[in-house]
Amino acid sequence: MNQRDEHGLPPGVIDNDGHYEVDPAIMTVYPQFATDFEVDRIVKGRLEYLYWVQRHFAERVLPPHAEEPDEPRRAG
Amino acid sequence: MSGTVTREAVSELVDVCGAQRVVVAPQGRLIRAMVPAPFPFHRWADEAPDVVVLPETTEEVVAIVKLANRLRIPIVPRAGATGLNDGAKPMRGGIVVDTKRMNKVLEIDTTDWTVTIQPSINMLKLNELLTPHGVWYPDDPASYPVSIVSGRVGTGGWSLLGSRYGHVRDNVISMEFVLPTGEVIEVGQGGGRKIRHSSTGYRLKDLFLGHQGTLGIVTECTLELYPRPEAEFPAFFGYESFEDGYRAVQPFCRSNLATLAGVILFDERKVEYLRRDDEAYIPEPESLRSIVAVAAYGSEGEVAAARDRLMQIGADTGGRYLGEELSELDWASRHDRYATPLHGRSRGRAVHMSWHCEDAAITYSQLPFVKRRWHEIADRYIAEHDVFDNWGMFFYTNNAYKGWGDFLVEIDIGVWEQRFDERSWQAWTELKREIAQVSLAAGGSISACHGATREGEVDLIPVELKDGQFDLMLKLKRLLDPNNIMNPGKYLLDRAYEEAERAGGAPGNPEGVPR
Repeated sequence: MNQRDEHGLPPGVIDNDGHYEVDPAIMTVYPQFATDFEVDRIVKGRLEYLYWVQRHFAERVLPPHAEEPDEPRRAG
Repeated sequence: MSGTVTREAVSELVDVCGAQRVVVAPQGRLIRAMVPAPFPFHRWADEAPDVVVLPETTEEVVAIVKLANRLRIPIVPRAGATGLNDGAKPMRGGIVVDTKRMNKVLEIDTTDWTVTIQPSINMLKLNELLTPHGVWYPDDPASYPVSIVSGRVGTGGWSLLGSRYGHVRDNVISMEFVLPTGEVIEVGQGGGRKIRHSSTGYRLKDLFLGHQGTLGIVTECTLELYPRPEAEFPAFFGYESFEDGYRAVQPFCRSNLATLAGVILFDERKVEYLRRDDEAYIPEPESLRSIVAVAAYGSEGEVAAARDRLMQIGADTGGRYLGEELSELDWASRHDRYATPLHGRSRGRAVHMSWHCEDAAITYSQLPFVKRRWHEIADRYIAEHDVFDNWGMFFYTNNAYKGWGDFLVEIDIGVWEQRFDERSWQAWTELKREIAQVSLAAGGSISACHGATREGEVDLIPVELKDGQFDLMLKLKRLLDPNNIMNPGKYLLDRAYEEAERAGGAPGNPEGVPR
């Protein structure tokens, strides 16, 4: 814990122009990986949030073209 | 403890609010030194207030202000602290009055269609309470989920739906306000808390909208209510050049649609950033170089008719409709800047940067000039400093209740705040000053939305408010705040007192108590 290099820094810390950072050389790089379940959860969570906020504004979002009379409403 | 906040003063504040609502611990004070505007972290310790109080009633606010005025202690009102200006940031220590606990709804009037509130309620929360009554309050800043009404009053807030529903100054009907001397006044259109238009007396309400905490503390607001919109229609159209998008803006703006809430033009650099990093990212065709987004709100029949006309204008101007999913989700993402971390690029590395946007009010004819000059300035500073990144520009209809006229213009700059040192901080303020100079050269205003009290641009306030306007501001400040206790150091308003002292004394400070 008390080890210091010649610059007085503990192991694994570098001085980057006066800003102390963890030395990337000692980092382990893990590939970015998410299961289908995780992706689904993240995307669904974001869409639910956007939908929830948007419903503070209007009851429903109109599609770009007039709906057929028997077409079900998309939101609201 | 520094400055004039003594143990005795803290003790008096505890008598007013109780010990639980008086904060002297460093973490509670340091966090209230900051706002989302780029912050000089290397000066953090110098920027903190000496004490924070959290009042719950008008009477408590009056007692705090009277104490500060008596002891000549600087006092800074603070609401949601989500502003991109530094109105809520203390510059001389003193007392921060954090009003977040003043968040009660006092009256929902479904006959005269007003809501009266303690003003530190969040708009999203307020609308949840209004929904069962079939009404809503349409103020919609990018900070909608997190900002609060009193802060919107302090900044004279701008709304993303302003072209349909107006901005904050249009929708605050009247206010109760505590002046720097502790007097309580009621200001509105004239008399009457719920009167929307009056021809009696001066229109004092506007003086207290956008004052950046320099004229007092709002303690009650009566707001306009609207029928909840039955429908919305957002549409995003792609164009193959900025010039094509720029030309397409006018037909949308002049479409004569009362439901039109906004028209937004994104430039090439913004599209590039959306493709690269933004949370609103959705793959777009490579040939697409600018985007025009529109949105309409209102009754279903009116919005359906507006939808048909907007789609036709998009086709007539050569726009490519970008689809239902992109249009709906990118429009819904307009509040995301306050909720998501953002990535910048510095010398080829991806780094965590804060989002900051410089804004101005510019007429349509001057938009290409401002766009070219702002990008030149930003790119020059990026070449010299590794703490900035250019995230592009957009242009948003600025006029209340109508789509034509001038535009809110923003350039989004990624700022690597943790790397700030005095040299790069000075570069930041110089960048801002150059951007503001271009706005003035284009006949515009330094800020349409955020305010203009920050280092860099604030020096140009007397230039913009020439021909006596700034001098009148100084006189009003000195009249209402004789001891310069309310948010001192902002808007160059100290000059009001310096000139008086040079002239032979400070009548507002007869005892000579040090400030």
